Amino acid sequence: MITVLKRLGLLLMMGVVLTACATKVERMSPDEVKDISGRWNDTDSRLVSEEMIDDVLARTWLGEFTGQRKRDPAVIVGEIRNLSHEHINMQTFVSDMERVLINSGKVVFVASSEERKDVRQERGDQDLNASDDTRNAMGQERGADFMLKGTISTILDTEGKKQVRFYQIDLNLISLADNRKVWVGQKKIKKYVTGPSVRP
Amino acid sequence: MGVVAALAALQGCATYSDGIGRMDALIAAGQPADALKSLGEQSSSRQDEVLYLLNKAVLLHQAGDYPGSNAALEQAKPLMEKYAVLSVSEQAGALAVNDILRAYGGAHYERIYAHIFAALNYLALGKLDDTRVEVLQMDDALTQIPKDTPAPSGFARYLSGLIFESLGEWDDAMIAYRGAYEAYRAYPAGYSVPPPESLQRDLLRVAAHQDLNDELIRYRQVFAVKENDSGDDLRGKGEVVLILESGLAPLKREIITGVYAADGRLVTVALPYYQSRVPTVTRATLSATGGPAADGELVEDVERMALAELEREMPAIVARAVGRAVVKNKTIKQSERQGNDALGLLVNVAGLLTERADTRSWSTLPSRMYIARLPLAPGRYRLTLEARDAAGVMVGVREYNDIIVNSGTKRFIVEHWVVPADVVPRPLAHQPAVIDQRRRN
Repeated sequence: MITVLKRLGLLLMMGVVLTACATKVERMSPDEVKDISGRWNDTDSRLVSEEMIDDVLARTWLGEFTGQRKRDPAVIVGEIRNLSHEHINMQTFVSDMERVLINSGKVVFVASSEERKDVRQERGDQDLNASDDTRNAMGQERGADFMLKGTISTILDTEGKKQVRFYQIDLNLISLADNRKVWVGQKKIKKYVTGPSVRP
Repeated sequence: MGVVAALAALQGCATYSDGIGRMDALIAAGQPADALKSLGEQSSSRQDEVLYLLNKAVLLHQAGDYPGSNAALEQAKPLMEKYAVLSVSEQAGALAVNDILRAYGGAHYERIYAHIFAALNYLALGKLDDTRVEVLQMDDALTQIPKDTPAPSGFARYLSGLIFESLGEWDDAMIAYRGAYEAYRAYPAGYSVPPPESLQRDLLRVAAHQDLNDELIRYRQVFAVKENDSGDDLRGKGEVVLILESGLAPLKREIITGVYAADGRLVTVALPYYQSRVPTVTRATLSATGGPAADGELVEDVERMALAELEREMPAIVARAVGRAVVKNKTIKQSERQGNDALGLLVNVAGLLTERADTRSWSTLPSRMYIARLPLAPGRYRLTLEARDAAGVMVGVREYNDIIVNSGTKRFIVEHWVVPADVVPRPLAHQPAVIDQRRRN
């Protein structure tokens, strides 16, 4: 009886050990929130871009511009500086914002200064090589009306294994005609992270 | 019992530092790519993963692959944090068998150096904003370190100050320079590096810029400079900052010695000690062709810091080693009492084989750091670095072409210098205070 129990116990343990040894893959929806280490993750990037773009599109500057100029404003993304404690991937953050802005249909986006280099090179090449009716001439770019600039900063409060991480994202929309800041947006994210005090 | 025997077989007969001689020789020969291959050939267990990543990061840095080096450091940093947390099973293993079973998370100063090296990588790539992120992480990590632990706060804060000033963040630069000055002054006698003179000029300049007049007057008195001196050596000029990494950090070796246990018995234990590796290049001069020159100043002595840290940890290491010896003795006595002489002999042999010192340390860190600062009028320059040894004999020359200097900004150059003489181990004054020393190697 006891030997049977011992064998059963051993088999159970082996089963547990074996399952712990295999790699597990679980598919998640991109909208699902899963915070693992407390650092900036895709959920943060998505939350910030959605909220801030909703905010910027709902303000009066848009109506004033379309009223005056009778066309949609063109926005270019300038420098968004990372003044935080983490090497945050600014590219995914900027891409999220661009996507929401363009898809709203109220704003026209123009290529940023880095993207323009490749485009201008291609246009210059077309000038030389493409046929007359399919060529895109130089000097026909749509000038931007507004520039979006911003910063991401953090404040950390650490004591032993406990940490409060505070992120503040500040964005400004600056008119390229007269340097006015037509919109200032701010989003704060706060996380409380507790680390383990022992490991197995 | 079987566990002990199996572990004895698994550990092999070499400590960690025994296996990296070939890698060191290749580094000294100026072949970091081959050294990286040699590092990869060494078996890397989970416990040594952090050390593998840190060494890999330095080798990639020396080979000029700065993004690769940063990738290795970004992998190492969360692991260092993770292994800083005590593991119940590893502690049990350490008390029963040896310290090598514990995952190596890095000494406190090594954790700061992970950030310093990442900052140096970003500086070499010219990415000041990313360097700034590392500086903030460095600052946070320094505040986490317990008091009286040797840490490179002086150099780290000095570097931070340079970066903040370069970005035009004068307030943060002032705080960082102040912190650096305090840290250099507060270094214990064991590993003191005097505050660099250029730091004095920085304090005067930034205090004058920020209109901190009381502080400016105080600094003038303390540094014994003229009354109207506001450190303004950089008016209308830019600056080239050359950071030189010289030599290699000391190597931990093992010494078998006898220590008296609490019950008065003499037990044989294996303890680590450091072997010095004196850097050859200790003087550097940076000059512009046909123009001004600047000498490098010592800003960091990693060897002394490593020694101070080992001294601080030694009581705990000795206590664990003695505890292990007592446990092993008890096990031997028990098997002998049970009449099983063969088993007793096996345990005895296994105990001897597994009593190895933990000789893991980040040995590819440079032994000393120097900074040379050359103020230059805006323009394009060709610079020459002359490296000399302590006697003034020229070791080598490196040239940097097309260095563009703009007014009010700093241009950073990161350089390393290791020669074959740097990896030759030298005897050291510092040994663990023990009786009856017999060297194993």
